[in-house]
Amino acid sequence: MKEGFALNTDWGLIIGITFTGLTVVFLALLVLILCMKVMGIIMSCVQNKKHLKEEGRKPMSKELPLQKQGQDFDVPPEIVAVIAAAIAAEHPNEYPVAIHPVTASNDATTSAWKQAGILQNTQAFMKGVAL
Amino acid sequence: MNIFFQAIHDLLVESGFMQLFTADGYKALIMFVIAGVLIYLAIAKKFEPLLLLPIAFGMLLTNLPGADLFHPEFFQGVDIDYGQVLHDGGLLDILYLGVKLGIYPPLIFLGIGAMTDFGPLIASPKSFLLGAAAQAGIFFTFIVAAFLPAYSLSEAGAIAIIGGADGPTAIYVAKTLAPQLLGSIAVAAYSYMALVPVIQPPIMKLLTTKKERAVVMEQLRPVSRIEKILFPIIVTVVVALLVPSAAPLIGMLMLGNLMRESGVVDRLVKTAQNELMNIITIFLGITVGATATADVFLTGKTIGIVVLGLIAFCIGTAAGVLFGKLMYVVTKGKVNPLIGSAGVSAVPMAARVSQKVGQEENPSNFLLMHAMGPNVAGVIGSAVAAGVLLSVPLG
Repeated sequence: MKEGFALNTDWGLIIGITFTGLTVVFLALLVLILCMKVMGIIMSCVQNKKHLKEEGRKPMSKELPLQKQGQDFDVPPEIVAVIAAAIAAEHPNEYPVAIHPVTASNDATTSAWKQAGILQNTQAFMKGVAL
Repeated sequence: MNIFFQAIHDLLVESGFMQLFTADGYKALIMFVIAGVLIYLAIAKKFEPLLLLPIAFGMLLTNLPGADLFHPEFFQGVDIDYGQVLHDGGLLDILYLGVKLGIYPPLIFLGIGAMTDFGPLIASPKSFLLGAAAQAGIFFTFIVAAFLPAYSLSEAGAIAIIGGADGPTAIYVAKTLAPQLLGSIAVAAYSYMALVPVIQPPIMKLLTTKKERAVVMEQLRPVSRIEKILFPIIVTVVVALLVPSAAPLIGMLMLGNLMRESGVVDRLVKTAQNELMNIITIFLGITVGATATADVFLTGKTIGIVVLGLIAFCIGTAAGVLFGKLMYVVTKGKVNPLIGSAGVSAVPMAARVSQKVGQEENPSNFLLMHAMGPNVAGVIGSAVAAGVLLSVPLG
């Protein structure tokens, strides 16, 4: 135990330890960032190569055009059936319901389906205790 | 008849009840009350019950007069006579060897590694910076504690690690730097970890604007299995080479994670996540609680540890959020500063707090996976900080 209030404290040592500690923590984690970045680049290169190889093997087909982001596309009939069933269940015997063309929303941030998916994937983290 | 009364008299004199009425008896009674409060908090309030309950009961056992379940004197000094511990020690003395020899915390880390998904961190490596920034609480508290005359430099280092918000790391550092304060430090660390949802939100709200809290972050990229397998190997090699004293903690954390991600040792993963983790948690909790004897716990130092622990937590949270703000500016508003507070570790509680506070501003905002990155980076960061504190000469 120190005898005097801050007088006998070796401030050079304390500041040195603090500075060294923070530097080492940042340095270690910066090296890890670098490693992760390099690993990410290598992995994406490998996957791009794989993708290109697979594309090269496929016969050219006009029947399956690639879906561009934000472009309208047909909603599968199963989805339409689910929506229709949900509406029918909500309003039984009230009035007949007809479903007009259904289009997928481009607004990905507020999509209820997306939110439900995220909720399902993150539920595990919302439980448990800190360690 | 005389023999009967003599025997009853002897029993009464030697009983713990009589010792409660001696000069220091009141100290044991105070410890009973403290243990009772902790048991209440664990059961009724569910404050970290997995560890707080065995810690509190260990505290109760060690303070039972006459029971002599734990002998702190066996573990004092540099040269411990392990033969004496095995020969004369009781159950708690022998179980305490796992703490003293630094076996339990790395084994707990093995279980944590087997339970943790480092995917969000691999997908967003910049999260490492938030995990590093939140360790500022440790080093700031180290300066404050070192300034106080009550604590030696090594005690200051042991107290400061509370800011890492990581129970096993705090115990691992305290058992080496200040074994006499182990009980107080463990109780403070786990209490504050349980209070993360209470401590963090006001600091997070104070340091951020409404606009910053409402930031919706871009979806994280998917992480391949190969990346998840390579991650623990890379982290182990880099950290262990840089800070060798952090190797036991990081090595076991990453072994647990490698077992999980490899997908070929499911039985080992299940054991590490459940049976092993639970057994070690019981041993660790009860023996750490046992170190909190009245003579050690009922001192001004314990009050200081409680206050300094709170300071460490608050500074760690603030540093994480402020670094998050810096990243918000640098990335032109793409990073929500709230995820910075998760850098203090306390997995997954701190990440849940980021999610909750973020959703208060924008109910459709899901910050949880983004906050898990800094959260698990905080575990690595606090282990590195622990390694630094253990490797520098603190006297």
